[in-house]
Amino acid sequence: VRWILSIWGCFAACAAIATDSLKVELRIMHHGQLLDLHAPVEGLPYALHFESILIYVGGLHAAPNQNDTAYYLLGVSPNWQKNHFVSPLQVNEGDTVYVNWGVDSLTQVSGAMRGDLDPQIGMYWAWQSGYISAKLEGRYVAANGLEKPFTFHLGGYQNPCCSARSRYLVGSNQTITIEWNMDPWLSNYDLRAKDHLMQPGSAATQMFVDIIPASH
Amino acid sequence: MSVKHIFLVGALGCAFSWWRLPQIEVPTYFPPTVFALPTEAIDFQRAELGRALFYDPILSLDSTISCASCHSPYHAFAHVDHALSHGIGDSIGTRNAPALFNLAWAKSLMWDGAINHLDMQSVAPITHADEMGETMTHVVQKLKRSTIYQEALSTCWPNEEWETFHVLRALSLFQATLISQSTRYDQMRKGQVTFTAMEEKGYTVFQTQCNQCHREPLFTTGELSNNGLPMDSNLRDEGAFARLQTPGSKGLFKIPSLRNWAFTKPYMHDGRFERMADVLNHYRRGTYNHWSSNTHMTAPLPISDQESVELMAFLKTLNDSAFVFDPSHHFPKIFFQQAKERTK
Repeated sequence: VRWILSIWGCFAACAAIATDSLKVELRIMHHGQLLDLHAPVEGLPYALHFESILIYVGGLHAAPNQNDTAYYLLGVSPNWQKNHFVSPLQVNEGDTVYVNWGVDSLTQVSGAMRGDLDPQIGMYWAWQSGYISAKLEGRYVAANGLEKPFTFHLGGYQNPCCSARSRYLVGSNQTITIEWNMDPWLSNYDLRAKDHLMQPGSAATQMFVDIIPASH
Repeated sequence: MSVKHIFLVGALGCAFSWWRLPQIEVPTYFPPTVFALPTEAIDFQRAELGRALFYDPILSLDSTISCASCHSPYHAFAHVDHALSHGIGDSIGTRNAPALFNLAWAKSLMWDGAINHLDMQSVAPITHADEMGETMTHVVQKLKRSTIYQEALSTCWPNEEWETFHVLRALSLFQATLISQSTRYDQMRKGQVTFTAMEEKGYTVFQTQCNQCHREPLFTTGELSNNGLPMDSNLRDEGAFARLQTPGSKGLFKIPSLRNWAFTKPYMHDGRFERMADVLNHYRRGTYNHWSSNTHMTAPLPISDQESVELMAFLKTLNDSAFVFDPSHHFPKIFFQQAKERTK
């Protein structure tokens, strides 16, 4: 009886440590601060403000054999606002969680989807048959002084340009906070040279891979 | 168990022995499907809902165009006599509306193979400015406002609200039920008829010259290929290149099935040929010094005049009148009659 009670106690203790669910939060950053979509981006040689910053994240898995195959659309646009999601994964302090940035190739060919993968959200390449991994849209002041839109639909869904990338995150007390730093894209990419990229393929995939948050 | 119970069980047994699920019978010589065919009663109900949507102009922005506008059931769901597809506001597309059948076997859809799943195919024509010009959001809103569609949804997906998912799934299930398998060729394969001597000779020519791309029994491999045609100088359609951006993808178009060809003229991705004889002439004598870098079809097919006649005799065995005139695919009169009565 003592043995049984000890084993049961161990299980109970483990269950108590494991969290019931995992909250994953995305913070879009610029110059070390939360990016304000309602204000112009500062520190650039030209005026710019974002209207949409959206990215798919999902396909979570963690040891042992825990999988959450759902995908979540995080970010802000005129029709969408979501900065976190709750996954049913049970994660202990310090556990490694793997996530996909962009929708994986299997989900891309799995037919009609609901929720955050509903094509009506506008993250679907209708005539290309695949999900846009990330969207960056807004307006900027071009070299001629006129305000122009910029549109970047990033990613690819078909080999050799499958954009989904797995990164790991470390679980911490039921919450993982991911900081998505927009500084590299804003400082390295000159919109005045080219202000749109809307074709899935190598260029859109490379830009996506360059800007997604790193493992941490 | 009382006598009453025994009678009850007997009566139920009798009822079940007479009641059968609608079934899709697929010939044994057909390959495995890519898209799962409906098997459950609920799937057939959903396919019926898809049939109603298919014929309903509610899917287009100004409620003038339905899927059936360009995919007529009496022409194997192609747009007979129209080289290019039509859309709202008299707009004209850049490609010929393809015939719709045996889509459950299609590895990809559209002339450039851009669509990877039958479920998702409908998004493209519904949202294209030169076709139905709608948004999925607005389509869902319209369906939510319709009493008849609300009732239909509650039958097909109980306790759910209209979403894009339901539109796409219903349409794909309906399209998956469009199966052409009753041609004279099929009857020959099933041992019900024997080919005439001319048909038999044409079958041999077909197997030697055409079967590599138009592989039986579906009469397509479902792959993309160079069709050897020069590019239309107005349409400037580069085929799969627009999507793949690889040198080898220039001029690649999906190989269409040869089934039901007599119902689906004009032919090729831009509907440039009015007669099947023109298509045959192209492959027999066409210019193959092609702008596509794909090496397939770089020389005319060695088919003599006599063989051409024999081939035509065989090709005529590929038309499926039973499929084309099957009322179960046609306009769902009862559904729309009910809708009309409701609005009175």
